[in-house]
Amino acid sequence: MDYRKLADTAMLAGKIMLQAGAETYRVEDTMQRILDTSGAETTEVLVLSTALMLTLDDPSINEISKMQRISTRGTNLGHICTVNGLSRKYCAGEISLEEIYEKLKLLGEKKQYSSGIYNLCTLITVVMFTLLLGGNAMDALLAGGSAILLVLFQMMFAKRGLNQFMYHMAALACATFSVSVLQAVLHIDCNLELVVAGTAMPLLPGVALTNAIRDTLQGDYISGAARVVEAFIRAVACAAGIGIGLSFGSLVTGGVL
Amino acid sequence: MSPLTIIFQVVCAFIGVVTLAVLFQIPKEYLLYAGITGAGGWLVELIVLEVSESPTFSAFWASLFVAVLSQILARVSKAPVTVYLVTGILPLVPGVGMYRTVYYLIRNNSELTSYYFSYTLQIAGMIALAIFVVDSFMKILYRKHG
Repeated sequence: MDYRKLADTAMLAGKIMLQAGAETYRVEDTMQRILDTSGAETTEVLVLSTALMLTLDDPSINEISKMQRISTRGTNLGHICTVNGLSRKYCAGEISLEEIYEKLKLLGEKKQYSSGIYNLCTLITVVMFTLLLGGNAMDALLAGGSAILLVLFQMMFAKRGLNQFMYHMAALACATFSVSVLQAVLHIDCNLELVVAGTAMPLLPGVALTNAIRDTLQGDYISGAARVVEAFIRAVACAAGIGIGLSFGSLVTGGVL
Repeated sequence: MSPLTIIFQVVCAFIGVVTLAVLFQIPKEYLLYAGITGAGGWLVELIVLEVSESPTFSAFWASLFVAVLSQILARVSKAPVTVYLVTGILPLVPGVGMYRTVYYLIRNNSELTSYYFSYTLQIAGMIALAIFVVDSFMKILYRKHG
């Protein structure tokens, strides 16, 4: 048994899952299962929302300890599914250590969908959620326009290294401002709150909120608390963006809002 | 609310949740189930809201429904529960409540600001409570079966 390779594999699997937005207990569980296949005397895993640690020790080897810092986190539920499936297969003995390691390596930055489909789906999501909240055809049309702004913003700033807070805030501020000015200038009879709430939908912290609840319940209080803060900060960013957009909007249009 | 409106809204919820699932990079084979979870949750929300006229009450039952359905579908399709839970819950997240909180905040109306702020928190709390209940229940169930 190549213990070092095993430790690398467990670490890589954990890293991909945590970066994709998996719950802490799921990451710990997956890494633990992979390490346990070695039959070593001591296997320990600790996962926080920003770091991974593991120890592998047996009388026959030098102790292996590894730590990995996680600085970027996003949402990629597809990766969680894939790593989950791979580790299950490995633990059942269906694939070898080399195979799982290679497959995890290849997974890296792979995306399920092209950016064209991603942008189109952003547009449809915003329009659908505006209708869902009770908007009429006019609201849906305006929401479509604001979604296009959101997509353009994503295309321009997604790779510029802007931090999450500023990114969400600026994106929503930009969309809210344009929509409110457009509405006031063209005298469009529409429900601004539904349009803006619909636009905010793709940016709301759904994953962080759900993970915060589940981590806390599981007893992972450090990760749970960190994710509560994450969800709250994201919500504040969205709220601040809407606030800025509305304030400037009413400033420009002379308080028609 | 007329049955036609309800059908229209549920269809919107289905499409909206499927496209949202794409934004979360959920694999193609799970998209249908994710849509069903979202649409089902919204249907429960609409019905309970119609009967009880309480948004917090309906948010609780809808989240409970979504949480149970995701547990079932996750086992049927052998996917992690999170996949369906996250997407199914999102339509219930109080986006309008948040908007109104901010809107009245910049209008200097502190009374309505605190009203909508607590309204938003209450709904978020109800969603959390529902997930708590189902997760705890699943834990007990699994311990029993070993």
